[in-house]
Amino acid sequence: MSITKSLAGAQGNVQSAGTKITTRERVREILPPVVVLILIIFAWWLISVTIYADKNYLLPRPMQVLHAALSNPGLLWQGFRITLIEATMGFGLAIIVGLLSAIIMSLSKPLERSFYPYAVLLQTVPVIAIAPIIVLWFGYNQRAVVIIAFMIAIFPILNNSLLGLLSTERNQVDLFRMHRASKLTEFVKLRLPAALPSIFAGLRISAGLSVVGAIVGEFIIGSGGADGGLGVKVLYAQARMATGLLFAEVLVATLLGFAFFMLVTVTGNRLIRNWHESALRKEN
Amino acid sequence: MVTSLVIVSLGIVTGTQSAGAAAAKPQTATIILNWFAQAEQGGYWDAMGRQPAKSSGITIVVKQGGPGIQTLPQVAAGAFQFGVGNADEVLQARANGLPIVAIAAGFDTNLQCMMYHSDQKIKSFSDVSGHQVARVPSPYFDYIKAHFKLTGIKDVNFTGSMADFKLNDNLVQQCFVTSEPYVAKLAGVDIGYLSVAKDGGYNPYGNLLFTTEAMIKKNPILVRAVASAVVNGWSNLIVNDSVAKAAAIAANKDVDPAAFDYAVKAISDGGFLGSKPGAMTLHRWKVLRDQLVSIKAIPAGLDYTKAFTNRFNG
Repeated sequence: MSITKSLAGAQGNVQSAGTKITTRERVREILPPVVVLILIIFAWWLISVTIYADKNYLLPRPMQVLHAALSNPGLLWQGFRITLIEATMGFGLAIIVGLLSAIIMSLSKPLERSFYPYAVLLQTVPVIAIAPIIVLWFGYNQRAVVIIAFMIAIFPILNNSLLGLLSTERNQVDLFRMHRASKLTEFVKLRLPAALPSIFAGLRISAGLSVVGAIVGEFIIGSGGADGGLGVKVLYAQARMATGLLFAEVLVATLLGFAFFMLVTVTGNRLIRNWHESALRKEN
Repeated sequence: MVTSLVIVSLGIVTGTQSAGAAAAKPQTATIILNWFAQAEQGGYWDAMGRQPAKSSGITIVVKQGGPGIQTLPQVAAGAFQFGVGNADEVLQARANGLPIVAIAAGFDTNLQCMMYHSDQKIKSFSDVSGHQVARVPSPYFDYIKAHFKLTGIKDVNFTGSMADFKLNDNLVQQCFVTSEPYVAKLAGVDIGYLSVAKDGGYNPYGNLLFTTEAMIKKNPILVRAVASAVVNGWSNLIVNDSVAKAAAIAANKDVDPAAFDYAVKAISDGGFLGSKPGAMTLHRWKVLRDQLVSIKAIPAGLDYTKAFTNRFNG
C-alpha cells in the first residue's frame, strides 16, 4: 500500500482527489460538444430539406427519424435488448480471454515470443469476411453472434494489455526489487496497476467494437421476427426502404456502443484517476 | 502527338453527331437487375442481345445485380433509368415516398417457392410451423406466417447456399421453382416444395420492369421502347433462349448454360409468364395492396393505382 502511495507521489503533477469543480468549469466542459451536436443536426436538417428535399428516402429529415423512433418504441427496445445481451457477452468473453492471455504472455518470455506475433497478425484477419463460416460452424443462433462479437473485440484488449504489462518503468521495478518484493507483489502492486491505462485503452476500443461485432453477426444470421437484434431490424427496414426507421435503428446501435464506451471510460478513470495523466483534470 | 489525338477525338465527336442527326438522338437505357445473370431475368437479357430499338437510336444496357442490391432506391435516385423488382417491393417503395412505377410485368405467376427435405411431413404451408426458415427480408414470408398462423418459426437469413440446407433436415429454404429443383438434384438432395403464389395465395408480379414517374413524364418514347423490347424479350425467351443465354454468359461467365435451359423450360412449361406477357391488372395490384396492409407492411390508404401502368407494355 505504502509503495503504491509513494508511487503515486513519484508520478508528480498530482492534484488532491478533492479538488472542487465549479459549475463554470462543468459548463466549459459540456458546452463545446453540445454546440457541435446542435450544429451537426442543423447541417443534417439543412441538407435534408434542400438537396434531398424530394429524396428523403436517401436522407431522411431529423423529424422523420424521430417520428419513426417514436412510432416503433417496442421494436427498437427489443432490438436494443437483444444486441445489448450479445455485445455484453462477446465483450465479457473478450475481456476474460484477452486479459488472461496477456497476463500469461507477460509472465513468460517464451510464451510471449511464441504467440505475440500471431496475436498481432490475428488482429488483421477480416472477421467480417469469415463470419459466414463461423455461422456455419456454430449454427444460426445467438451463440454465433456472441462469438463474432468476441473475435472482433478481443485483439485490442490482448494487444494493449500485453503492451501495458510489458512497459512497466524500469526504475519502479528496481524499487520493488530493492525492497525484495515477491514476484506476486510486483505483479499485483506494480505491473498490473501500471498497465491499467493501456488495458483501458484497449477496453475502450473493444467496447464499441463488440457492438459492431454483434451487429455484423446479426446481419449474417438474420434471425428475424421476434428474436432479432438491431442488425436484423436494420436489414428489414432496409428491405422495406423505411429509411427513417433505419436511421433510428442505427442511432440506437450507436448509442449502445457509446454507452459501452462511456461505462469503460468512467470505470477506467475511477481506477487510475489519482495518478495517471490521461485521467487528471487538465489545468488551464 | 497531341494534335493528332485532338484531330482523332474531334473526328469521333463529329462522327457521332452526324449519325445521331440521321436517326433520332442516340440514347442509352440502363436496366439494373435484382440478381446475377440468370434465366429468371431472361426477357431483359434477350432485349440486350437483340437491341430491337437500335434503329431509333436507343441502346439497352442490362447490368446484373446480386445479393444486397437495392434496385429501387438506385433507380429512384437516378443512378439507373430502369430497374427490376417485385410488385410488393414497388408498393413498399411508394409507401416510403419513392416515385417508382411498374411498367411491364415479368412473371404473371411469381416463381418464389419454399423447399423442404422430402422426408419432412409438409403437405401445405400450415405444416411449416416449428421449422427453421431461410428467407430474405421481403414481406412474402411475413404474409405466409400470418395467413397460415404459423408458430415456432425460426427465421434466418437466406444466403443462397445449398450447404446450410444440406446440413439441416429441419430447414425450409426459399427457392425459385425454376432453379433449385435442378440445383438440389445436382447436389443429391431430395426436395419437395410449395409455391408461394399457388399454394400460399401471395402472388406479386415477379421481376417486373419499373422506372420513375419523372422518367415517364420526361421521356415516354424511351420508356415505351424499353418496355416493348423487354416484353418481346420474354416472348422470345420461351421460343428460343439462345440470344438471352449468350447475352447473360457475356455478362457473367459463371452462368451454367444447362441451368439456364432448365429454367427457361420450367418458365415455359409452368406458364409463368401468363397469357399476355408484360400486362398487369388493377385487381391483382389491389389484392396485393390489401395483403400487405393486412401484415402492416404498408399503410392502409396507399394508392395502388399509381404504382403501375399498362401504357407502355401493350
